[in-house]
Amino acid sequence: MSGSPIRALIKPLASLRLTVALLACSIFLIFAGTWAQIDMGIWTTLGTYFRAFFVWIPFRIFLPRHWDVPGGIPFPGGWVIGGLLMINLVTAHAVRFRYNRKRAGILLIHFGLILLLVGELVTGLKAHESRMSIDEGQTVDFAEDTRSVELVIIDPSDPARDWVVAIPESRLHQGKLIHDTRLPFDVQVEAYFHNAELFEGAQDVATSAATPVANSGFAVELGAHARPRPPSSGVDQDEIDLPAAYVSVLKDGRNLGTYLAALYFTLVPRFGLQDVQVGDKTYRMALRYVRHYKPYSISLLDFKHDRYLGTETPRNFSSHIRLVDPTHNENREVLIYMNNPLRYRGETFYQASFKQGDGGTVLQVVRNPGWLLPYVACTVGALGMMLQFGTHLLRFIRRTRTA
Amino acid sequence: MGSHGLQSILPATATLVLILTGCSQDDIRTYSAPKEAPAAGAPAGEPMPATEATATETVRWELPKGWAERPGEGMRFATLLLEPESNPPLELRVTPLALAARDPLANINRWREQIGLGPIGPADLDRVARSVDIAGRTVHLVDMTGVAHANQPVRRILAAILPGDQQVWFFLVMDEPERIGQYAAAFEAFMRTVRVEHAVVASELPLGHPPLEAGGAGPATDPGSMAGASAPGDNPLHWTTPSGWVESQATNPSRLASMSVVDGAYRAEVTITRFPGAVGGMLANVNRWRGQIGLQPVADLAQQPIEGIEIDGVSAQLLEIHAAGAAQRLLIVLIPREDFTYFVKMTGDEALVAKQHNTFVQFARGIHFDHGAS
Amino acid sequence: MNTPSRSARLLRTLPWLALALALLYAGAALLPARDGRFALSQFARLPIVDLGRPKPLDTFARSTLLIVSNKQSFYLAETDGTAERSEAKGHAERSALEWLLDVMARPEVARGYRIVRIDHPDIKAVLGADPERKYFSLDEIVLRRAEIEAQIQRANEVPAGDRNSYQRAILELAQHLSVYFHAESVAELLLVPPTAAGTEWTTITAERHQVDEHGGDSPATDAYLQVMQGWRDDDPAVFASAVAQYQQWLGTAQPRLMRKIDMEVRFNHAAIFLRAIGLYVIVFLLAALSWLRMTPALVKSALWVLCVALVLHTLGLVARTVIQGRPPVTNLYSSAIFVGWGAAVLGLVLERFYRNGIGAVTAAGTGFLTLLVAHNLSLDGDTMTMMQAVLDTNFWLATHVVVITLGYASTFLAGFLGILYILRGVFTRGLGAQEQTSLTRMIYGIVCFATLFSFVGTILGGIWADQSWGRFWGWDPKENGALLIVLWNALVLHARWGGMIRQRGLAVMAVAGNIVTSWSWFGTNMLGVGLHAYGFIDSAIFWMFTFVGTQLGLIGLGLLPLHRWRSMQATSQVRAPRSVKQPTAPPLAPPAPESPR
Repeated sequence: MSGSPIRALIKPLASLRLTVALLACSIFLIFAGTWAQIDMGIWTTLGTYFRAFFVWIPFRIFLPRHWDVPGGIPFPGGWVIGGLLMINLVTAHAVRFRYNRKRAGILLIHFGLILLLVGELVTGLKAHESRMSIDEGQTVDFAEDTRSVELVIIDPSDPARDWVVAIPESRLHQGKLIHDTRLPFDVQVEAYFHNAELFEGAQDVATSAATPVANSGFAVELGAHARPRPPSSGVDQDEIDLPAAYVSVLKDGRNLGTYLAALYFTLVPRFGLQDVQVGDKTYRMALRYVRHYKPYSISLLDFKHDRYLGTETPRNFSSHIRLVDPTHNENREVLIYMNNPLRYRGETFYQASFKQGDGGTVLQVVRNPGWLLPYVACTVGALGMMLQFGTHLLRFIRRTRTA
Repeated sequence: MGSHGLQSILPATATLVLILTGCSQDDIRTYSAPKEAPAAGAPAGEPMPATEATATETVRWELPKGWAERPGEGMRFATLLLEPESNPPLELRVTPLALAARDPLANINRWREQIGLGPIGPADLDRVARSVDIAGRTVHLVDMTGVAHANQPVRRILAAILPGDQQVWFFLVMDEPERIGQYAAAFEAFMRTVRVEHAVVASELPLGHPPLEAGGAGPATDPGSMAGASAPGDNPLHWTTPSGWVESQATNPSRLASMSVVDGAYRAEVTITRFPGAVGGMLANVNRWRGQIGLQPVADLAQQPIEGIEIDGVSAQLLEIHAAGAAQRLLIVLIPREDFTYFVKMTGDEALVAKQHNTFVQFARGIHFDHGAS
Repeated sequence: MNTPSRSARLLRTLPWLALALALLYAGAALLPARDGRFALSQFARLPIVDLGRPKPLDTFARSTLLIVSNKQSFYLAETDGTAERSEAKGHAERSALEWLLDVMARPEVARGYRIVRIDHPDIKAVLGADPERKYFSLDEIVLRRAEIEAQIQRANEVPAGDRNSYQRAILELAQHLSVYFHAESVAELLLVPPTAAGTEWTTITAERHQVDEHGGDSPATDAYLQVMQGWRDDDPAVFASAVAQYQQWLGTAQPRLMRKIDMEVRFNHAAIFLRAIGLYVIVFLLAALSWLRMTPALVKSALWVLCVALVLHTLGLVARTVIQGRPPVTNLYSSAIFVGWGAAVLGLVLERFYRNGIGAVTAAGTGFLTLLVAHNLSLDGDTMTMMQAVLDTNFWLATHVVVITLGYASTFLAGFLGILYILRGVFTRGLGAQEQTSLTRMIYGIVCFATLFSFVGTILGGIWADQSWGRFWGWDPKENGALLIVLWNALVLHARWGGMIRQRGLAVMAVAGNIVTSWSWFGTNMLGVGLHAYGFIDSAIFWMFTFVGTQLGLIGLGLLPLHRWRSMQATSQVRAPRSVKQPTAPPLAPPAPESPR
């Protein structure tokens, strides 16, 4: 009785028509997202279509690109449709459903679906992926997030360990002055390019007004300049964004030099970090992939790349590693290969890729607190389906037998 | 369930919304990390990110007489000194760039800016650059003379843009016009000796869903040439390539050599192939060759003169297949040896092959075999 | 009951006759090949490793010729030794193996054969050839080699997504030529089996070097030299003795492999799936005929021939599984075979329950269509390709891939039933009330089955992904496609349960399911290929669009107001144009023209 006016409000939310409409919407959204990822790449599509509230779907994604058709439609995104489906499901159970044995199958199926949706939500919010690139014979104790960069300033004065201050990419805007007590000096971002090309310029090149002049560090030693380029589409795997930044080091109001920091330098070990001189102290600076240091280290003992005879088609990849963790008293050898990851301390290490010439391995490191949810959801859902359709089938067979 | 269930749903939804909409500004992180070795000696092989495959590509060339070579520093791969003795030196800079603009126009405009010229559009590209084929790659050769500007004297640029498989290689020399002018021809000749070499390309495994079909991890064989997948095996014979004949890479083991001759609009091909054992009868072969250039078969060899010719101490046979009105002509030398029969064959436009008859015979006579080779 | 007439008796023998003929036709598949002058069937059984897999030379020859020429045979002129790809006067058909022998032993001759397929007119222009011609000899192509190589280089510089049709065509030609040259290079093919444990397959050149340095025997090299000699000299005796001797050696050195190779050669020769296509066509005709002239004999014939067809189909699947050592579905081609099999089995089950020919028609129809699709997919060469590393796991191939392919199969089956419903209802009087009910029940049941299998299959795929790279759901095109099928089937079921659709609506939505499934199965493979430049002309894309167009047309037909349906008019079920939402009273009209069993 107390729920009656609420009930009247909730009832339309529980209707089957809404379910059908939402299912149709989700079909269209997924269909559109699949077309959109041709240009945007999967990760951008994820953020724009599926893990978003609303999305603008341009018509051109469905048509040949050179037709250049304008216009589009707004559409609810994954969070909205998924959320509404959840609400629809839950309210249907609250309002409409009858709980008896006959309905057990459907109950289980729906419960499984709820778990799946929740699982995807948790994954979307909490999962974290990074990778570890290790050469044969090398020991590595950090993982890199290759989807974002940070500007790091390292104080090497302590003989035992380096002290690292990392400025995230989101703070590197053109013209911005970054001041923080944790930084040894102020950083003025003269220019930031999400994707840049580096070239060697003659000393007497007339600089254009857009590009700042760097007078210290690699820019001078190597004669390197950076020009912005359009972002890579994320689909072509040979092209990645190579950010670059022109930053000035400021201390006590004085400009101590303008440097060119580019991701490219950290990818070629010939260059690496550049020195920043502040008074009599030398710091090191670089623009590099975001690093997450681990309390344990992984050494690559041997990497095997088996191919099918006479072809380049990979047959198997395997990394023979040694895991050393002093905090947990771990020191053991592990073989990581396709479909056989290493699970350690809440993270899972998969054999993802390898370095040129088979000289090193690349492991994908995944932390996903919600990883168990899909498994539970599937078991529950599959049970429910077999129950539901099994009883249907039995009834059908009995009916036709007697007919 | 009922109303209790409803009442618990609302706060849950609200929390959810808050979680989803809340976002935090990324904060500066600080931490201590193990010491990192400074970037001194590069380890064997440069580890590029796994999504890229570059940087073990290299070029080699034949250094012309009188030029000197210095290893590169920084981003420069090498510096060649065209006049090692003189001061100031005349430097040819060799610089690779991964992911550089593949479009030659961007670079050409950048160089134009350096010598005081305005940019050009694609339509004018042919005026300043020409493309030549060097070992199967399309190389742009650039020759531009600038104007005096901003206290800079007039300078001239000779440059070449050589696209490798993973990087683009730039060869550039810039100096006074007269000084450069002496080296224009030498520069082109030098460029024609440049070859790109590289190691096996790694590929990223697809991180997406495993496709139902086993789509390849990339083309196993490079579709970029008509060559077979493997390099030629033992090469037991040697020859001298006559001038005007251009060698191209042998395509498969049964083909030991491959050269082409071009004379204006006429072209001809010279190949050396071999087949295990003795070959079928001469008449069948002659008819086959006749068929190749569109001639009717003959009933006997009466009409087909066969000359004897001595090659490296072996009696070989020389035939010329041609007919009035045929567009093409064939010159063939058969060299029977122990396990193989060698065919030296020239196929091409009638007029050119006829002209090349003597050159061909001389070439064939100059062939010699490794001792102990079959 | 009066004595059965002569015609009735004749009709009763019809099923037996049909069964006998079908068995003969299927049994002919098992007949061994007969040799002409040369011991080709023995040569066919010599092993080679190509694309990572040990296989008979027969398969290698067929797939190479298929890639270069689009056909597994060619036509040799009797008189002058020239050859064409297609039938021509004075030419006799020869097998791919004979072509391979010419390529290997008499390359100069083989290069004159006009069998290289070129479609693009601009390439033909480069060769200076008549644009009407389709097949060219390698000699003609090599003559223009410098120009063609330059074109290939230029096309290679353009990123893959931006190539126009000419560039794609020339790169395809380059790939075909590379395959041709590969076959020519006898000494570099992996023909020499491993002799000792720990060694690998190697080439004739390598074996020669080995013998030069370390002495010993070179059975493979000797054999092939002799074989080539015999072929070149037109000496069958030399040929046969060399092959026999080598086979004997192989029998002791690699017995297991040779048994498998023997099976594969017989499998190649049997052309099982082509024969199954033929049988499915017969079934279709018999079953369709049974609707015009309802005799139990015709239905029974259809059923029995369907059983034979299905047995043949199954045999082919099993043979492939045994030869490859893998679960039945490993690539797009085998998925097509399996979809056909799954749909045919389900159709057979339906037929057993309903016995009205509908199950048989759908089984035959889907079987025929999918095998046709598979045949077109086989033109890429060897269909038994090796699995890439991440896919190299028999467990997941046997579970996820098989289950989801069954999901495809059942959705297609439901769609086919929907098409039957619409066509019979609109164009014939055959869709009476009973028919409607039974068809609707069939569609509903199959959709339930499809929902179950596509859901479970998608989930299994997610679990596989999680085990492989830690991401249960990656939102990539293939995954999305599978999810769309689950969602669509769920949508259909919920719409039905909510009373939003009834019988006609169910049929229409089932047909729409065909579009969703074809998108998931093929469309996702074509993404990115066509949209950047001018790729709509690609034939696979063309056929997909045609298929979708036909389905849309059928949906349109299905959506016609019910009073326009001939069946509805015949049984006067509908009084006036009304929405389907109001169910009409049970019909008092005469029953549909099939006798209940």
